[in-house]
Amino acid sequence: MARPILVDPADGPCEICAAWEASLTAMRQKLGPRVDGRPPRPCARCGELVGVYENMFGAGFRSPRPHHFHLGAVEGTGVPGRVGMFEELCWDCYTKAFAEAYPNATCPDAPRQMMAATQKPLPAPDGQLLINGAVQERTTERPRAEDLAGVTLAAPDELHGSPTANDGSW
Amino acid sequence: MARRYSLVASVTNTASVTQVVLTSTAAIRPQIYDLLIGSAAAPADNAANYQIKRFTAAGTTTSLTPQAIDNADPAATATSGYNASVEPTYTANALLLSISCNQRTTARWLARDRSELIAPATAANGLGLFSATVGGSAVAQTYTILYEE
Repeated sequence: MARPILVDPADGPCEICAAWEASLTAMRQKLGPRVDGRPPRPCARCGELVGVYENMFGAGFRSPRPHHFHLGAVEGTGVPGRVGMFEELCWDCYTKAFAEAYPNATCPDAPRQMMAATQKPLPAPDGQLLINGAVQERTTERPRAEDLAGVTLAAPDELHGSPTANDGSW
Repeated sequence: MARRYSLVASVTNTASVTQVVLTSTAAIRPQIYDLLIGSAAAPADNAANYQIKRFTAAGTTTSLTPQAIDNADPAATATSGYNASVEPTYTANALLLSISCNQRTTARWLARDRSELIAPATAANGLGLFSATVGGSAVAQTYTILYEE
């Protein structure tokens, strides 16, 4: 196992933490301060947007082991020590980090994913055609057969409600 | 009425090691309302920072049986363990509680009403008491956690 990285903040700001902050700032500049009502959080290793998992409120997975340490006193006690700095990871990077940390242990199951990292499809701008949720350029030509492969067209009853299943709500 | 249980564990507070876990099930929402941290080791100027964090998988720990505070109650539904050899899968940057204390002191956190730390009703999810930082040497610490479910 590699020797731990010790950073003394007395020598100046930690470059590793500064890089993480820069990654977070860059992602927020790119995607905006909130994506689907939550601040976007990048994986510290791959930089991808972390998905939303049950009971995790949009946060990522804490790395199983500290990535590096800061030298410093234990907060409020004045006794010198070292503070472990953990990475925030996406599930894929977490499983890799878990396997590195515990090669003989079975990686836990992923918690239930509430929303994919790619988020829900963006609303299509006017003038564009959605096929299977993907935006297609609208042309004057009719859609080709291969573009429509796998597309299930809604029956008229599904579009307007079924008179036979009328529960009075429409 | 909720049933109340006690967890008592003595663990060496090695830095970056989870000291105690309380693991929920789909049927209950365990709520920690009292936490005591103290050491019976020879007095010395060691200090540590402890954190309570949420996890979505409980890792590997030595099992610890919750004791019913009212002995008319049945065995606890939640499970518990101490001294993790495989850390739980913690949610990053989501602390519920952080307590720093010197080994010479006993620290107590007592929830005011409706401020209990609640684990979700989801299997394998729960709350972990984590030794985040140790100043000086790691020493044996005794933890008492009271919770209801």
